[in-house]
Amino acid sequence: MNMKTKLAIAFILAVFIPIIIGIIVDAATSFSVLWNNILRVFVGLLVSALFALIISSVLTRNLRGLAEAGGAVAEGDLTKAIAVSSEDEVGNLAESMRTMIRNLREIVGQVQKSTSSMYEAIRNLSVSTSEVLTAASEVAANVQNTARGAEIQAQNVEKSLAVSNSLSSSTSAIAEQSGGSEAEAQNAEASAQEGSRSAYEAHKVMGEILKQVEETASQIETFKIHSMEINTLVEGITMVSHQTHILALNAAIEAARAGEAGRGFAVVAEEVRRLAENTKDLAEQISRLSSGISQKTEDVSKYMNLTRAAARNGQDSVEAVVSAFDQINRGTASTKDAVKVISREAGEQASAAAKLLKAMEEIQEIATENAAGSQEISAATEEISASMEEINKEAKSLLEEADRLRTIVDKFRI
Amino acid sequence: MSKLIIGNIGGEFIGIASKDVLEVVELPRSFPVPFSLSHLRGVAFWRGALLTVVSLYGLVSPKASESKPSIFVRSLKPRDNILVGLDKIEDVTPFNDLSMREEGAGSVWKGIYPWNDAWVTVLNFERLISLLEEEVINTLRLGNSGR
Repeated sequence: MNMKTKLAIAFILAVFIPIIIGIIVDAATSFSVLWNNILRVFVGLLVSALFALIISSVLTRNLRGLAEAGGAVAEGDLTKAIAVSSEDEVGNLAESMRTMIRNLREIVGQVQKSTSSMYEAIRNLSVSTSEVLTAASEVAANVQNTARGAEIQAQNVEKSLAVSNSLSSSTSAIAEQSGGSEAEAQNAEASAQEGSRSAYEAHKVMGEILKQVEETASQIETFKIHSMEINTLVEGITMVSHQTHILALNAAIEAARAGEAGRGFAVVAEEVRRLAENTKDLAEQISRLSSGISQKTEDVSKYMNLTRAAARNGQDSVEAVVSAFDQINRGTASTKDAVKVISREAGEQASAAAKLLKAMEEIQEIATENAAGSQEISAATEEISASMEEINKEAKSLLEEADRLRTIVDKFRI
Repeated sequence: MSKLIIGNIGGEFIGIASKDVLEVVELPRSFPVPFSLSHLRGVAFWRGALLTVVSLYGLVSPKASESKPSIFVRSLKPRDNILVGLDKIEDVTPFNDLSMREEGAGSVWKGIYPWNDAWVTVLNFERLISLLEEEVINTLRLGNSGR
């Protein structure tokens, strides 16, 4: 029986049952009709209401079950079972609602599952993009540092190239000078050997000179002694002439006292006095000459002593020169060997410097390319970093959306 | 024949007649006499005789007082015990009294005598010796002879 039939029956019963009950009561009683009628109406109303209540209760019981189920669905509770089992429209509605809830549960379950997975994926994506962004920032910073480093490296390589160029020129010049120095060292060695031989000869000559000077000084000393002896003799002659002079004076006095008898003696005394005076004059001349000779001898002796000292100093100096030349010979020999080694090493160094210069030129090209590439990489990395930032922003936004979606979906209980 | 002994005292030429001279001697070792006159240089022993050594520097040349005589003329008259010092004997030349100029009378200076291109002051040696002897005696009398 469908819903329409049930309502018709309920209406009929609600209207006609009181009427029937009134008619029955009216026919049974005729007293006090008014009060009876009122009682009858009242009773009829009560009965009708009771029936109506019973019928409506029967009719709305299933609808309440459906309404509760719909309310639960509306609240997101898909776990509520619909306990309506009838063959009427309500039953069909209940069946349809069961099917709908079952389908919704299945869909919501899948949506919840997908949402959860998507949220996790988006969260992971967000974390990953954050990490990638951080890494990209670090990479960008590193790449920028690398680019700056590459630029500095290129500049330094350029400076190094200039230095290498200068070094190469210098080493070439050193190599050339070393070659010249080697020849100069050989010349210096030859000159030093020649100087050493000359110094040896000079030393020998100085020895001879010193020997001659010593001999001359000895002769001068002897001469000085002889001169002093001459002076002594001259002093003796002077004294004798003086005494003779006095004697002649006295003889002249005696002759004068003798008068005419002493005339001849006076002449002799006069001659003796003159001889004495001549002797004295000659002695004085000899004395002066001897004094001059003595003085000169003294001077010569002094000069000879100075000459001897100078000769000894000269010999010492020549010995020092000989020693110095020996050292110079040893030094020049060592210098020649060292210069030879330096010359060879300088040549190798010049060759190495040329290779180094070439390598530095290649390095400069590579460094320049590296600097340009680093600049490009830096720019690309900055772009990547910007893109990753955008992606990260989108991922965060997506994560928020997924979170809201998950919140919405989680409102369903299945 | 008389001779004139020409000596030099402090650059001054002094002439002494040889007849007044006993001998010419070199300076013997002399001994100074304390508290005596300045021109009495001392006494000396010479050939067994004690002689008085006299310097004439103060008499003929004040500037010659710093010099030391190297030769001495021994007097003959009136006493032969006085030695008169000279720096040097320049010459012994013949002496003619007629050539004397400005002859003094009773003085120690007899006059000047030409010698070479110069003039020689000739001493009255005998008179000088007499005066010196008196002076020496007076000195001895005063008790300052340093005996």
